[in-house]
Amino acid sequence: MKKLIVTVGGKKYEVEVEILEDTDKSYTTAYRAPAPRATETYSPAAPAARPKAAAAPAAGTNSSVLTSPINGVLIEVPVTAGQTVSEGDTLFVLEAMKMKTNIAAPRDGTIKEIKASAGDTVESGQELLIFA
Amino acid sequence: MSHTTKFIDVTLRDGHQSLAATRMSTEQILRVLKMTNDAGYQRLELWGGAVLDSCIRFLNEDPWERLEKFKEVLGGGQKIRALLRGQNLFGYEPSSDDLVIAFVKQAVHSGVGVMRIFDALNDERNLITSILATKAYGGVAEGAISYTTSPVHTTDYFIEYAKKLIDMGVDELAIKDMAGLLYPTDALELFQKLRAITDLPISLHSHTTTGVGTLNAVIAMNEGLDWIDTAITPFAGGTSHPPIEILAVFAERMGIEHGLDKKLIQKIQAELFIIQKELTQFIPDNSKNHKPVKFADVDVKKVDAIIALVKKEDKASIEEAIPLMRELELELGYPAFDDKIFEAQVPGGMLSNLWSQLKAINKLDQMDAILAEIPAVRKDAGYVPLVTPTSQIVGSQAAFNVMVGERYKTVSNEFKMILQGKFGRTPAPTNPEITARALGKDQVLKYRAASYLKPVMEDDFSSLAFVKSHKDLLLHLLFKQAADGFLKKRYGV
Repeated sequence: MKKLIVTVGGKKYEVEVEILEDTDKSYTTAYRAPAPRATETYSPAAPAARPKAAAAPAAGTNSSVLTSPINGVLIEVPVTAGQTVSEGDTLFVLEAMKMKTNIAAPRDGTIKEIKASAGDTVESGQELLIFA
Repeated sequence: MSHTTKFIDVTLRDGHQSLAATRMSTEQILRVLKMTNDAGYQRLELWGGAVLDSCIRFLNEDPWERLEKFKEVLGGGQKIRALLRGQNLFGYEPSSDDLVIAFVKQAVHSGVGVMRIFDALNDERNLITSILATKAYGGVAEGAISYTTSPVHTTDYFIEYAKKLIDMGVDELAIKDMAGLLYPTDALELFQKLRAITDLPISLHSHTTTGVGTLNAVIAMNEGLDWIDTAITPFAGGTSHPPIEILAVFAERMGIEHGLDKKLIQKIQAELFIIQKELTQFIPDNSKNHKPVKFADVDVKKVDAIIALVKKEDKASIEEAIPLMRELELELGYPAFDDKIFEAQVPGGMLSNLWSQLKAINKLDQMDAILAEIPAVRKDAGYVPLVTPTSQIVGSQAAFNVMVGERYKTVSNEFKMILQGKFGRTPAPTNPEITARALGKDQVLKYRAASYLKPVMEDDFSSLAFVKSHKDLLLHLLFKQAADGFLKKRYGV
């Protein structure tokens, strides 16, 4: 079982999904994305196979858990627990597929706990940081 | 003014970059360099591109020493051509003007006679500093057009770009078809229009990845282009370049004096097969099956038939020549071509990179969805050509869009750099909504990208124990940690 945080209409839901096959070797296998499937249960407008455009970042989202958007390796963690951050501040720099991606604070707040450190390999949906 | 075509050999730079991951060592090259020179080539591509990176990262070699050794063997640098990525020099991001000037100056002094300068986005402002520096320090500046296909990349677009390069003062022009995307009927039109606007020497650099590069070379010879990039078997064909063993025969049948010593080329070929064996672990499986090719093996009947079609100079005849040339190459044992790109718009190299990267993160099941997403992302990015580094940036962004399940919810820093204009002006405007959202408070750059970069050469580097010379410093400033690792090992510090 795998835990995922799914956001629907600005609200976050914690869902558990069971991944039946985890060892696909061939890329001709049909497109099978666990995360969007999970949202189908909750969302009236289920995403098609092609990803939809992202909604403008919801200002003032009050979720307390920040998760990794994709699989990758954390290469920088420029913040520490107890620190106060503003919306848009870089909390993590993630490297995936040779690209660097800044994971920014979704809102203003104080960091309660940082659950991953530089050098860690993280998976999409994995908890990285908890706001106070 | 009439033009006669001459052949350039690129085996010892792009030949092994295309077929052996740029792993040919200076020692291996020196086994054939003197012979290659003696064979009668008037120009040899020997340096630049990925060579510097490969030297310090994999071969534990000083790239400056490599260049200086070549210059010594050739008795001067006039014949030595290097490939320069414009303002990006030999890296992947723009460098400051002072570093570009210092690097070009050192390269010319160490042995580069001809600098082929290109920009992946065809932003002419990314070429100006290196063009001026090359000329100022006594080199020949060749401005290269990066060829790609998209709704904005019409023949007229490339002609307008060529005019800008001419206006900027390049000594020569080149058409650089790095992914083998130039379809022969389009090649005919491009060569004719380009020849009509200038008497400057024009080079054709075509890769044979898609099975049309050698035919394009023959069309170029017929249309009076001045130089053709070629390679010697087994570092020819496939993702590399048109084989000289074939093109020399075409030249002879067309009455073009190539001036090459064919016996000597056979000797070089024999030695290159030994080198290919030594490099076997770096050579893709589909490019390992070259067999020795003699000039006499080339089917002259087919050659004459192809020449007759090319001389008609119409698109229907060119179409007819395509399968004939492919047959001729396959008969001689060159790697099978992959022409799916003409429909898929995704270069083969990018495809295999993407495949191995998805495999590494256990996401191969999303490969098809990502491939379908790539053209949309490329459009949003202003139809950037899919070459290093933009191919990787666009491919990864497409992957993020699919993996996250929402477009551009996760945007890589490098993709933001494209949107912001930090690599230069994109061929078409980027998607304004996505750009505004991804950049937030940051503005799209208005001026030449490198004009925002601070100088780097005036800083104090005396505390770096591994930087012992000006040449070391240039490597340190361009390649950062990779160069530092090489230099530290070299000096034991």
